[in-house]
Amino acid sequence: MSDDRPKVGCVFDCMIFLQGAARRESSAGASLALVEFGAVMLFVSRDILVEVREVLARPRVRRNFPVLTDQIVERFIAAIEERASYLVSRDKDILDLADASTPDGERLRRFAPDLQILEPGAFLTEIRGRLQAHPG
Amino acid sequence: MAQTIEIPVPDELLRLVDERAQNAGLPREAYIRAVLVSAVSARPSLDEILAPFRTQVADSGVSDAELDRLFSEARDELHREQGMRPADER
Repeated sequence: MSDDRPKVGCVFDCMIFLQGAARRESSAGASLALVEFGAVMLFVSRDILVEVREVLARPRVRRNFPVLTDQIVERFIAAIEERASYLVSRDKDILDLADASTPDGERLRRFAPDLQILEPGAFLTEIRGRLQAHPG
Repeated sequence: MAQTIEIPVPDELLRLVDERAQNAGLPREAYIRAVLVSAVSARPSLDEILAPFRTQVADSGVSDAELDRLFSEARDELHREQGMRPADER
């Protein structure tokens, strides 16, 4: 795998994160491992991560898997954010994390130096620029 | 800027590396690079974070279909509470 070859970009829906979290050996788990290994570029939206968090907090899920605590879920969500290439959101609190001069922004920058937090318009501009640089 | 290094690796270790790389669906070089990054970074791996949950899922004996159903029902329940329709009804 060459470093200068543009990586495949991917978006996972909520169910891929859920299934991948539950089973490492599933196709969804293997897909998450590709993100872990930096083999693909992951694009995430705040809405999807919120959905993942809330489904994993549902009583019926916790009843089946009581070991699944808020702490594990929060660490999982944070780990996804750290490994993502782009976090697209309209949420001001999220967009403010792009400011590395704040304590939270500085912490995120330390753990996820390659993560870009953008609102949808800026994301489109960024991706269009990449597509023009690497057509086809 | 990347540098290329050369180190001697025993055949048995290389066999294990290739086996793990194949399981991860990665070329040998990409897998070794990923393992190095993981080893020297302070952040915990997804496997480490999720280990207790995955162990409980495996020990429960739940099938893939049952797990899918549980997550789907939980998600649909969430959507209903939020006044959204489930994805497969949109």
